Amino acid sequence: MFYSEKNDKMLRFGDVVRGFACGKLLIEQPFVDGLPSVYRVEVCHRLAIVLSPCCAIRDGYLQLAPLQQVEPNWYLNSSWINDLTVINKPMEAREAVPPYKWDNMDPTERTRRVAMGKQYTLADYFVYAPNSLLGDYEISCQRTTHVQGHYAVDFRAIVCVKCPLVIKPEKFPIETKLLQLSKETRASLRDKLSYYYGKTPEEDAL
Amino acid sequence: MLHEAASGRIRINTMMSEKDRPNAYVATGDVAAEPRAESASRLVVYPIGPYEVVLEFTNAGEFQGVVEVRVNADFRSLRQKIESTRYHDVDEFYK
Repeated sequence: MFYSEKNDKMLRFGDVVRGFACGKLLIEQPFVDGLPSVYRVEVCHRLAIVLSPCCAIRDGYLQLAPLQQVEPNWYLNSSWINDLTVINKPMEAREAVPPYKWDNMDPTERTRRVAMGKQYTLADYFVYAPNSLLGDYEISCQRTTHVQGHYAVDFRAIVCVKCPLVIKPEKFPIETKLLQLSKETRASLRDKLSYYYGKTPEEDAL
Repeated sequence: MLHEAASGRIRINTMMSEKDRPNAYVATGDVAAEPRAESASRLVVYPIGPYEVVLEFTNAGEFQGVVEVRVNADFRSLRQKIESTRYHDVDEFYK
């Protein structure tokens, strides 16, 4: 079960929410010389995912990431088509690579990848399962159109929103909460996000 | 049914053939349920809420008893979990 059958009356990590605009600041160059550069703010009013840990939801601060359509090229992997949520958990190398690429891969490289065992893939993304509240959309890959209900959250797109009505997890505008993850799915999101922030680069490994 | 117990501990395939059952255990350092390849019995782990019950059956499927009840938890620290995880770099295949 991907979503909880019943929403709690509190805001939780991983919830799908509406009504919080996610803003993205785009600058042409950093302001290092003290002069204002050209910048642009893009605001999207789509649904968003709460990525603040539950205990950090207070004083109006919320970390959100917009819920976005999945990448069309993910359809290149035929083993993912029916259930894109497989990318939320570690998988074998063979499952992570489109079959025709895997078959044509250099044997040494294939062996190296197999030896890694089950690992995360597409480490920046977490996929949300279809739900009638999210709706379907069409997506095209290699001249084929698919009706898709999965959505994705891109950890690179996390933004901070400040809303004084978000006082604590139990005290927030309840009408903003649409969907709540099941306990198991929330654990998967927490694990993958922890990995995203916690992975140690090789040069820093002790 | 392939049941994977707490991450990094033990994996048991309960649908393997009788012939293959002694090899159904993948040792991962968990001393609580070591493979018993020479035994005429087999162990099956059933998850029940936060616990795992380890049952012993003969190879003929006769129930022998409860071997162990243990907590189904991964006791590695967050740092240990993250450090033991890598990722398959596949971006080039989806461009």
